Amino acid sequence: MMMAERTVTIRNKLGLHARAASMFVKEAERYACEVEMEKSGVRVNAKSIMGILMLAAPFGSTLKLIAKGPGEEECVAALARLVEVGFEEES
Amino acid sequence: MFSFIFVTHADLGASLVRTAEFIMQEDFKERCEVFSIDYSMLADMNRIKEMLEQAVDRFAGKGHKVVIFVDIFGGSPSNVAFTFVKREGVDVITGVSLPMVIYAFEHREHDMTIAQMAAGIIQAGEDNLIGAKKLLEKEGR
Repeated sequence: MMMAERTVTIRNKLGLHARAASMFVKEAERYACEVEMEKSGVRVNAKSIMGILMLAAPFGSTLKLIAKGPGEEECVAALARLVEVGFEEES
Repeated sequence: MFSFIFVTHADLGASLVRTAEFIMQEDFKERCEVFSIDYSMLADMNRIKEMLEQAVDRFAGKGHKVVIFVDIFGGSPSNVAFTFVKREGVDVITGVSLPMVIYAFEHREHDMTIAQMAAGIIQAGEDNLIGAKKLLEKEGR
């Protein structure tokens, strides 16, 4: 089955905190594909703030983004960019 | 579609809505009715019931399913809210916390039954009841 994957590193000091998770979900919701996020073998729905927060991902941790469905490549690219720019927070 | 009613002691309900709005960067006022139960309200439980009824009717009239959030099971807010439990498309959930509210707001447009919404909200609350020491023990750290 086709899918798009990307490994990203959390670059903002606060890690993947609640407001960052919310920003992430807003971006993910722009795409029709399913999106999941994986850290240390735990995989969650990345279109859910509560799902993402369960990963408790701090600064420096690496995550895998997995998208399946329409727009998966663009979706993963956009989400990876958001993480890589540290959610536009000062770092 | 879902709308939400908060029946809580003092300012808890308003604070939960405001905090979820802060995190989610959205405005949910159109979808929420908040009743802060203070001393004057406690003196007249019938009034609370009437106000709740109006709020439920208003949302139900728009075709929305309604979740009534209550802070403590067995308290006055919960006793009043529970009188609506038999209504179709309405459920009452106690012990409301921020994760439960965020889950509910996130899923407000989802095509699901009131039972599915209630189950999801409760799961979100349970998933977030974590004692740090216990978690580290479990992870062998």
